[in-house]
Amino acid sequence: MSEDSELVCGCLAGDADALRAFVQRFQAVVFGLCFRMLSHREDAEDVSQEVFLRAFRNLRQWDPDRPLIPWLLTIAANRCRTWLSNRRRRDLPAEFAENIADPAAGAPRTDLAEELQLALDKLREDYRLCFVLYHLSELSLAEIAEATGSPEGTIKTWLHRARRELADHLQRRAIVPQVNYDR
Amino acid sequence: MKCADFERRLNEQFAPSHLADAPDLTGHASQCPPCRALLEQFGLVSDCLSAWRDQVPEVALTERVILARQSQAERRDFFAEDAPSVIAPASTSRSGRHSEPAPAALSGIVSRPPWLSFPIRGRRAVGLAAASVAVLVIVASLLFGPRDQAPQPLPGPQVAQNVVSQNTGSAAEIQTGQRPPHQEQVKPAAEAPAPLPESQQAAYHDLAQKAAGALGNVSAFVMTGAGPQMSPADSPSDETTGWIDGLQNQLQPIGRSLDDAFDFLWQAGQSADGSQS
Repeated sequence: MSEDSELVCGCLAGDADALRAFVQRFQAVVFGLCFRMLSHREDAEDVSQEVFLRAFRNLRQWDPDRPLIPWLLTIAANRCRTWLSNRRRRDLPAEFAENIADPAAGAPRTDLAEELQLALDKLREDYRLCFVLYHLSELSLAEIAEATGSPEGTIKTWLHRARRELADHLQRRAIVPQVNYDR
Repeated sequence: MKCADFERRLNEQFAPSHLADAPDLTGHASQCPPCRALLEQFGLVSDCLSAWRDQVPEVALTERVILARQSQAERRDFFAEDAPSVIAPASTSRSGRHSEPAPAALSGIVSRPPWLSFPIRGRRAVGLAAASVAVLVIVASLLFGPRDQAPQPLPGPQVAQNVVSQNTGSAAEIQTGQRPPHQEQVKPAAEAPAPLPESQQAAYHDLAQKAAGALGNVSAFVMTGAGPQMSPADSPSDETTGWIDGLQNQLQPIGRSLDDAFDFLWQAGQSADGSQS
């Protein structure tokens, strides 16, 4: 039995230690995805909590023959999309609004990570999700396709477009040199 | 390699580390300035990714999840149909080992009071059933409740015969236009009509006969269900709603009613029998 399977068995049995170990093992990857998708720390913490609660409720549906992280990140991706959908119907909090910088104004930030996150916020949700799942969570194209419910070819296209839009944004912000070429 | 192929292959790489395994891409980029720029762009974005730091939640996410899960379990147990005890029963894991159930102190609730011993879900079902029965009773009463009294059936031949059998008048009283005594049993004496002139008596006699015939047809209709047999010649005028109404309209100008016509005809028959006898 794999380590993940043993951990899941303990969680299904109601072992408190197993439950804690489960959260501690996967909270970084789950929270990282939620934070990159939502760009808001408190929202990411709330969604992460909800992800784990849903995972515990549906743990019996996990196939032990398959890896656990893609299954868990599928739940996280769905929760993030739902949260973003609900957020669009609400006003943005002031804290979150301050984090959004107008790419056409203001000096570029020295923190590359912040600039990248800023550029990531401008992406379409599907592009952003694929980009984060691939580069941050290090899932394969097949796993991303299963998590998003889209074909692999679509995932490739989305990744390509996400990278191109990120590059364009970073160039406009003078983070990366401008690339001029004619085809 | 063509530039279109280069771009397609580059998109499939996605990670800088993969470029080391694709010398054809780097070879083409070294000879093609636009593709080289595209490759540099690809590398710069990847470099930004390397600057990404691992994000860690500031709050103790583990404790938050455990506490939230416990509160959800407590709510489930409280509203469960059969909850023999607060403590979760011991279960067998997939590996076959028995695990200790969660202690009651961790749950934080006590056993339910005795007045709440009936399962909440069962009480809810009983309440819904009672409401459904009440709705059905109301609907049934509306559909099958007491209706308005059916209209009184028209007097049949027996009734007409009873009226005819009340024979106390004489031919002389009829000829003089006086109301026969038996009519006092039908109408008050104060409603006795005025005597008709001789020029109208023939017409009145005809109308009386029609009225008697109509009564007979209606009686037959009520008793047998057959419609009245009425010739087109006897049909009332277009202004009347029915042939009985038509007869009444014809009698009204001379101050007579259908009852008067019936009595007149009966008296005429009695007088004819008396003369013949």
